[in-house]
Amino acid sequence: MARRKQHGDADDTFDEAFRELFVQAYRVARRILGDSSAAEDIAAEALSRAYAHWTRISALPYRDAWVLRVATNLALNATRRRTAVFDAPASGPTDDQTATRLALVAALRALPARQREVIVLRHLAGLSEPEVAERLGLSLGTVKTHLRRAKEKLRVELTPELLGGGS
Amino acid sequence: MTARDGRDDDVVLRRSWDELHRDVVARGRTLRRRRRVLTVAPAVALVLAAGAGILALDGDDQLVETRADPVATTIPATPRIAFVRTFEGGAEGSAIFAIDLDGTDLAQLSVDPSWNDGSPSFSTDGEWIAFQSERDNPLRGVKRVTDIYVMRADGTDVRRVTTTTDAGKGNGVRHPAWSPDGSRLVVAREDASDNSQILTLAPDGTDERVLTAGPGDVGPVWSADGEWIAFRRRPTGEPEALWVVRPDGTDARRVVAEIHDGPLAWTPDGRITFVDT
Repeated sequence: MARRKQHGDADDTFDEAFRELFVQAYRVARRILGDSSAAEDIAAEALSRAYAHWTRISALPYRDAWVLRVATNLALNATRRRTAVFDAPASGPTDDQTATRLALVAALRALPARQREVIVLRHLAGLSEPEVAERLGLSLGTVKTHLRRAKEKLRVELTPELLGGGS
Repeated sequence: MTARDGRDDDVVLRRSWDELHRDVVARGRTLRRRRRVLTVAPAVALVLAAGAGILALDGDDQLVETRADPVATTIPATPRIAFVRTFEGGAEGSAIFAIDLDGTDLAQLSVDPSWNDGSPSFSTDGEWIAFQSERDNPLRGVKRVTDIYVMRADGTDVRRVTTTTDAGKGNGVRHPAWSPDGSRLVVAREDASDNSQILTLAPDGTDERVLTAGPGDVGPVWSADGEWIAFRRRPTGEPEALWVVRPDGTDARRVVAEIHDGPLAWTPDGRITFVDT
């Protein structure tokens, strides 16, 4: 009974947070996949997993970061299954976009989990550094350090073009 | 349907918000049920310290989330656990605490949070705790470099196990875990190229044996029967994977191709708990 009550309360807070979290997850996934339809599927899957764990994660300060991390991982995994899209030869504007996305995917994959998470929140979700620190429960200094190290490790520059102008 | 309003006008959806919500909840409920079916052994409990509170997980739940710094510890013979509390603001850093499983007798074992003590691991007999710390890092506050220490379960008799001689390279040694007989520690050590390897050594720091070549091997834990060491491997450009290796460094094999970063633990019957993607 207690568990049912707990889940009931959790369901209410999930409903309240659903749309905002979905939109964040969708935007991150679309930036990685370049495909609205696939991004919708990724966001739905990420939110489903969030729902399954909601009694645990809903009260965490890094709840949103948790969802975006799942969405990022799912989107990066999806790129491996979408080789036809990502292996297209670069010859036109659309292919330039694909190449840019490819570079972003490669850059994200190259990072350790925490650095990737900070980059995603800062540049793909468009949060400020203090907001990233708050969402992840880190100090501002630690976030800056992660960002600096991440950029040092990346094989491509995090240009506005690569990041879709989100930062 | 295309969702368009002032906030979400860049969000183009095939389904309506109501349809999406219903689908997400239905799938989430399925995952909840599946999560309870695919349980870990109930004898194993993991503990997650989150902010000021402690979240003890049910026997039928998997650990769902943790911070970058490992905060969980396995349960020793005694009904006491160790966990890490992260401090923000004036006393920024982390400290190791211990508490009885019934929530009583809370004790702070780390003296100074600025030392960033973390990754506590009880020895099987409950007498000792191995942990990582920045207390002797000459670049503390500038660069994160940890070494391994052991202390009595009450926080006394602290002894240094490893010594990172060049703090300017790599991030030192971290993630200690005990062998079941208490004769060895298994740790992850990062070299100057950010390549992390798994190695074992005696609790006094002698008799070092490197088990893996990396890259990106972290979070080792010893099986209850002493036959295996599980660890996470996160090579650049690849998903993080769950691996096992014999304590002599042989028979390394990948068990799960893709996992979430988070602490590993063994059940008494030889199963490994991990955080799923």
